[in-house]
Amino acid sequence: MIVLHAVWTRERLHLWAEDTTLAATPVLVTAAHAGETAPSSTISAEHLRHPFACDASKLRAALVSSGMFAGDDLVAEVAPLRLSLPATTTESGLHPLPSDRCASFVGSAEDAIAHLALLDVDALAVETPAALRFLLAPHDEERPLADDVLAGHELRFWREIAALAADLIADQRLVPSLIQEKSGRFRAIWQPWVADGAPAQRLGALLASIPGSARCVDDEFRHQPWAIIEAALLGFVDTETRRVLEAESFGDAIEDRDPAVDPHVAWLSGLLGRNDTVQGLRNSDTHLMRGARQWLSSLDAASESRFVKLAFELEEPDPTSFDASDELGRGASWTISFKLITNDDPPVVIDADQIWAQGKDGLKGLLARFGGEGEPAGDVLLAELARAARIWPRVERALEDSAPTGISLSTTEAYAFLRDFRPILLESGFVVLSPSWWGQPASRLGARLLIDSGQGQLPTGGGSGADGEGSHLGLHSLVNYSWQIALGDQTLSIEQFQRLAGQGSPLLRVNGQWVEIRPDDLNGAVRFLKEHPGGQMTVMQAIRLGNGLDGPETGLPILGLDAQGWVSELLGFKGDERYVHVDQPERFQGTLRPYQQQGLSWLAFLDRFGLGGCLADDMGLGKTVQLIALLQHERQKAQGRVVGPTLLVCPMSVVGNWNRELHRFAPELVVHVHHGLERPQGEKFVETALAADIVVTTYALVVRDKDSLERVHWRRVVLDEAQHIKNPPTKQTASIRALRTSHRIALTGTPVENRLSELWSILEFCTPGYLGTQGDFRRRFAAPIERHKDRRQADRLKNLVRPFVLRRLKTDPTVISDLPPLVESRQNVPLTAEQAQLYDSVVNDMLNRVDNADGIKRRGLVLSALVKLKQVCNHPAHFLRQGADDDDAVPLPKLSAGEKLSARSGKAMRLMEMLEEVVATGDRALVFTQYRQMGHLLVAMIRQELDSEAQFLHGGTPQARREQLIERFQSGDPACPIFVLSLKAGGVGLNLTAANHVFHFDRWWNPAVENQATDRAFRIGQHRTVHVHKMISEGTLEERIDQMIEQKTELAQQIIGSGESWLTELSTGQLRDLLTLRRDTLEEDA
Amino acid sequence: MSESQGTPESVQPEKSDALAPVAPASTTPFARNSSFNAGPGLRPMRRQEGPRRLKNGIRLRRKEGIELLAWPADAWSSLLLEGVDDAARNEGLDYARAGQTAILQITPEGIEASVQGRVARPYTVTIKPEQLSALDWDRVVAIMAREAVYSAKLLAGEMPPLVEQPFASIGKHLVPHTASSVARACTCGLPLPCKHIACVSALVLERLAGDPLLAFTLRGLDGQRLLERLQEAHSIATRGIARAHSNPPTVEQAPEPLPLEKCVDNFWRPGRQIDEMPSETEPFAPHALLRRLGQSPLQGKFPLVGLLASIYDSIAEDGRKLRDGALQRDE
Repeated sequence: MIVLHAVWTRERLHLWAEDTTLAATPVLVTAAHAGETAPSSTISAEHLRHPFACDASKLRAALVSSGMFAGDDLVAEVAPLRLSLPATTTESGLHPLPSDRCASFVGSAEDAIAHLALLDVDALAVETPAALRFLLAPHDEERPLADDVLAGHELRFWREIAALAADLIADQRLVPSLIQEKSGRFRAIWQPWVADGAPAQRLGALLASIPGSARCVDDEFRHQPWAIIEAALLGFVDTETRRVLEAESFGDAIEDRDPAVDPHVAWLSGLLGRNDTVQGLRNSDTHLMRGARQWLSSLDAASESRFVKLAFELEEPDPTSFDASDELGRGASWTISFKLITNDDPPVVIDADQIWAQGKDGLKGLLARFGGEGEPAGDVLLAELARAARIWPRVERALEDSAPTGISLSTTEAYAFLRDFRPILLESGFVVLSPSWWGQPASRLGARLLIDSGQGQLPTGGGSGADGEGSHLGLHSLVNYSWQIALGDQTLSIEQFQRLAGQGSPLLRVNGQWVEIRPDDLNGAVRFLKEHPGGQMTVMQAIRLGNGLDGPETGLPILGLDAQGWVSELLGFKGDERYVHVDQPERFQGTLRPYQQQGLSWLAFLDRFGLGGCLADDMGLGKTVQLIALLQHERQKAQGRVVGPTLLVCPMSVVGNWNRELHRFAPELVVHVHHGLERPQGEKFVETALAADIVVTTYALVVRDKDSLERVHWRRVVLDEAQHIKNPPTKQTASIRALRTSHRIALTGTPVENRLSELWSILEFCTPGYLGTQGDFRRRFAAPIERHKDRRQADRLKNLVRPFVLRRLKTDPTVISDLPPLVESRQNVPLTAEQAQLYDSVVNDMLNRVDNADGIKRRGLVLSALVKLKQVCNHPAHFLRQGADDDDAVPLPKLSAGEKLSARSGKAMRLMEMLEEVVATGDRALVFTQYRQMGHLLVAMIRQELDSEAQFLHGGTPQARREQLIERFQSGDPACPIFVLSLKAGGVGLNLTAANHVFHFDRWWNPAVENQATDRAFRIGQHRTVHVHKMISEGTLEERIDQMIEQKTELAQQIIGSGESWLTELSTGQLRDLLTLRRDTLEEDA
Repeated sequence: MSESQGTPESVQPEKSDALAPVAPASTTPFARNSSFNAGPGLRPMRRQEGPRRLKNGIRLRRKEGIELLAWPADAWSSLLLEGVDDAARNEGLDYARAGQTAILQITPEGIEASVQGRVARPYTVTIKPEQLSALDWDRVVAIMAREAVYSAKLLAGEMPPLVEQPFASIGKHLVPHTASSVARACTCGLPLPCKHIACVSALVLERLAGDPLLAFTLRGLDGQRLLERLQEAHSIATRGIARAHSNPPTVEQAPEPLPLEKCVDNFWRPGRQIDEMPSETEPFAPHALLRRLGQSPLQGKFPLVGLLASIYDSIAEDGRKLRDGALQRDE
């Protein structure tokens, strides 16, 4: 596997890579002791070949064979680069540290004190057009670039650079410029223009976020962010522009012209083709340079004055001022008044007539009063008007007046001002105050979709059998629709519309409100009405259409959707009251919090109309109980009639939890856990399923027991941790989609709205086809939103999705008031097969030997077995000393792509699932373990599987480093949301209130010790609810001791009082009873 | 000083005077050091009106007149006033103080001024010092660029006499050594150098005292331009290039980047600001930059702006394809 990195140097993007197979054996080194003597933050004078850099031929083969690049995209010669990379120095010498991405596969010395070292690597230069297209190609951040090729994190940065370059080209933000070189040669360039507007802000973000890995080349840029970004942007923009100009033979335009006599021709001679040398110039000939500079400086001058800006205020005509017969206001006269606005906060606005009214002498002091420099205000006004006149020639006429205060415009001129000149004036540093309706969708002509869904046949109590009531509705039911031409929210009658169409004026007054009527829109509307008389379509089509998807190709904007009947409820037109409130089911054993009742009502509403949905509440808000309550609710409503079984698919790690919660909150429900070796198949399964209220199974078994599961027509299929059904479509996804069911519900705690590919997958399950094909979705939403931050598409998607996704945050005001400050939960998870086998052998080994031993020896045997069992429960690698940092250590087995270290441990798997949600929601977590080696393993897993940094504080962490770690975590740095701590070193004294989740990965016999650790986060300074998660292996001593402590048994008092020694006092029989793995619960899906 | 003290023109009609090249007897360089109002000058034979008064003319403001100037203004003083007799000198100063000059242009091409005399039509004064050739200037700039002291001093508004050195080293002078290298002319017809020339000279000297960079302009290279060329040459010397555009303000305002060695702990990932990329707020405005640029100031015949407009249309098309086309590849 290789990890691909990119840098910009020598006028091209260069790729180099780390080769994980060459990287150090995966030992989780603790280099703290060695690192302390290393010179920190200094560049080693020596340089050496990077020991695990991928060599050029392997790199080229990987890039080409994967299809990422064509052979000639890459420059043939190898480009050796010298990079400044982090390294650590130990007794054995200098060791480059792997990149974050690489470290997740090979481990890393997380305590190492890093410094920079010069390292030589092989790199390949990419031809710029190919580089640009590579970086702009669609991608999924979470997936590898190709089999065995992973992207280094800085690729994200280069993608943003490329996206900016593409936007600059598309928006025509580039200017011809000139460069004079030392030799005297003049080069013409297409300079990207990032000095103003949104690109300037994007540049600011890029300057601030450039990672070290993107500025590590040892070259003439000397690691300076701007030098590197400027060169890369210029490279992309200039090369791409020349490519187009050459392809379109723009060079022909100056073919017969002599550059020596015409400076324009001279300049163009270096701009239109591949050759950038300016022809016909003597070395010392600087008039072209001077002219170019003078010309370009007219862009620089954002304002002539540093402390005031010229503002144009367009006022709409006084309705009484124009002819009453001119109802639409075509003959109206508009005025623009000039003002100066100071840079003060709040700004002071001075009208032009106020300035002139002061008289010539009064002018000088006018601005001075506002903290200005005392330039005569009139001079500033005139100078700024002259500058504006260059952009908007209409201003010239105002300058004929010796004391200009404004200009009056015809309606057509006012429209031209708003549409054509306003944006340019804004960019040039002027202020434009336009009427509030300008640019609002409400003031533009468009089409609105009107649908009438009727009330549906809402059952009033009597359903129609096992499938439940209302299932004939749903997204595929037909509704009547028609189109209406509208201005914003106002629909227009045909007569009104026809009158508008006859006016030929771009700005019209309709119902007393000014609106923009583009001629294109008018024609479009006429054609549109002709071609779309109305008819019937499905609800899904209608919602998609109304949100501007699948729109007819008329160019007419789709303004929205009006609905009558049940669809209007679905779309939330009735506000918060959109669904009928449902009470907590009578048999529910507990109390639903208010927001949970609301969630239940929403689920019941979707059910009623045969719709699917995704409940995406934050972790800890109780998605499980809401679903359980739904099952009870529908049974209560059915009043004894049969309601079909629900199939719940979840990761193995939460099967136990579901089982337990179902029994706890709804003991009357018949639960079939479809799991384990003895699970029924075929006809027997169908029987069992139909007799149950809910069948709980795992993602893995959905594939394996496909045939059995498909035999049942499910009342409902629920996916828990629904983010599991990711792209690309897998066998698993296909099997899930193939299940026959009337209702689909997805549960997830990840912020689906921000992870668009996940959102698509989940909604594709809940409401198939609703978001279109994946490619369509990516083009229409994912790319514009993720890459271009297209707010309009984002809003549109939000609208589209809102009826089907309910997500409440812990921080929502309604939720927060319902939550106690501390919420504790237990995560009971099964052992994996590997763990179970190791567990058995440890127990058996001990029991065999303990009979033949006594006294200290017996005690030693028991205690050592106890430790081993805890290690097995943690992770097999922990027990087997794989990847440890001591003498007995053995290397961790290497993982292949897609394999996860956590997959060997039930608790680790569940922890990773939960941490993923924590990271995705932007929360922060503490993870406590008693064992240093386990801490290292956890850090490795977090890096690899969550692609997130994890800090680790343990007994061996030097004091200075500790403070650094704590400070970084408390600072809220999103790059390291997780803090692993050893219970001993981190359990007391520290203040870690930045965390709102606390995980206890392994258990301590004494709850007080755990509580003390929890108090690192749950203490003064904590303003959020703290969620405490205790990880427990099912069927093991962990679970039994937890139960004893919970039940406050007498034994428990002993346990708490004496630590582990009481165990040694137990008889062999008691030990067997306590320690033997109980298999009555679960077996892995092996 | 009141207008009545202004010395009126001689009784002779101006035209005949202009044809007579004979200088007045008292025109002697030795009288130069007499102060303007102490000198006896020629008393008027009969009292005449002074020159027509000019509103808002350019006035000499310096209290001490044109005495006690620093280099290079003092050196220019003897050149510009070479041969001006005391009377003309005094009258010229009076004119300058009274603001009789309507226009004064000092360009690399020379000095041109319009001075209001007694008759309705103002006189045009031209003073053309000998220019250094473009080649000479290239050599001077090259020499100056080698030592930072020149641009540092000049940028600070100082003009030490050591600025003469680069000129001397190519066998030239910043301030000409002989008066003959300064050509003076006036349309008044009086014997040259006339009081109008004296008036303009006084104003030029005052300007020169306030803006020593004008000394370069007087020799054919605009002072600001010289500074630019020095900075350019400096940029070429240090960065290898000089550019026609400047850095965007965002860069100038950005905080100093962390040195790379301070980034080792978080070396590989982009900073969190990358997630806060602002979005496009204004709609696309075609040819926005071109419209802001306006017409090119270069003396080119080829329709540069027109061609650029079609270039912008072509590349924008490509840019949109690049942006959207790249997105379609995965289907």
